[in-house]
Amino acid sequence: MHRAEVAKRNVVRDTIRVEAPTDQQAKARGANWLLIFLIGRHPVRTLIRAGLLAAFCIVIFRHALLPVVVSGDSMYPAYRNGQLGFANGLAYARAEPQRGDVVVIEMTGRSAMYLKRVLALPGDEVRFSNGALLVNGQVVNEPYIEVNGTWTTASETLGPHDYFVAGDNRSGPWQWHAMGVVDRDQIAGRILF
Amino acid sequence: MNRYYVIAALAFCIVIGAIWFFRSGDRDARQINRRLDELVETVEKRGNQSSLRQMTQSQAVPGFFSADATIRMAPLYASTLGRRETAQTLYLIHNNVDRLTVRVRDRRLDINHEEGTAEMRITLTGGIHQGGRRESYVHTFQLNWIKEDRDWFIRQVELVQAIRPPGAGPAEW
Repeated sequence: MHRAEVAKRNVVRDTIRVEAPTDQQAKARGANWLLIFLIGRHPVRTLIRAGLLAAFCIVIFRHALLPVVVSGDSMYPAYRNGQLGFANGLAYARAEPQRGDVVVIEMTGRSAMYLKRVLALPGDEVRFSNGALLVNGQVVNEPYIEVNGTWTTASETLGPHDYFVAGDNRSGPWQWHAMGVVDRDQIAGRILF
Repeated sequence: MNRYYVIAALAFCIVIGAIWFFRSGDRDARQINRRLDELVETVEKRGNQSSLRQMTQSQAVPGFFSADATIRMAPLYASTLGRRETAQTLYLIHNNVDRLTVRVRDRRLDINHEEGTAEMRITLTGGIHQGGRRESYVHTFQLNWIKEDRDWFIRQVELVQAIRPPGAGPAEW
């Protein structure tokens, strides 16, 4: 057969291949495309991947990277109402909280927690005198405070597992604020940003 | 194509099984949690609530507590209340605020089946709306439950301070 004739036949055959599909075929193709988009070409693999991803997210966001939404102004100006952030849930797995750390404190669970700054460590003697923070009798410089306030509290000597925490917003009497002593076990992590 | 349906059916079964597994726990625990949810619904006040509804709600409150129940909210509220006083206080609060929202964020429950008692710790968050202002709150409560005639009632409510204020004495955490 002549070469040009063969080429012509192929063109004709290819033309037949790309014939417009019927409505039914188009619908079936659409459904297939949707299934592939949703569960991939290998559904078992997709299912395994989805399961692993879900397990990874649960572990990460429940124990390591705790999502935080700030509610209230007790940590103003460092953290404002409505601000989003993350806390490192593993920050104190091998280390102890330090003065100045902003930590999340568990109440019953991890859905609602306090956000406070660590001011004094186990064994410290701590008190406020007319707005100034005194740890072991020394006035502590607190550059993160915008309004010092006039807090005066009784002296507190912390036990071996106690930490003294307070918010950065010192406006109003201290009795209006959640501040004071927490147990080491209540500190769930350190704020990242 | 059939394989897709089998996989989809399998995934559906896993999801249903997981839901069933997590929901079918202790019957007493379910009952206590349901009672708490009902109490929260009774305590809440939605906007534009009629005074008749407010009265009905406050009258329903004693039904959640045992006859000898004590409610201690110090330092928020100095007096120790019984179930009737709690209902009256709630009625007064509903009369004085536009909206009151309550949300149970965390709950920890420990049931003693033999004695028919249970200890529960919950953290509540919410807001009090009054004259265009909203004040948010977060509090932790210790609830002691008792089983009477196959139903659970609250016998004691106590406010727990997660952060112990200066001069408050040793921690009870």
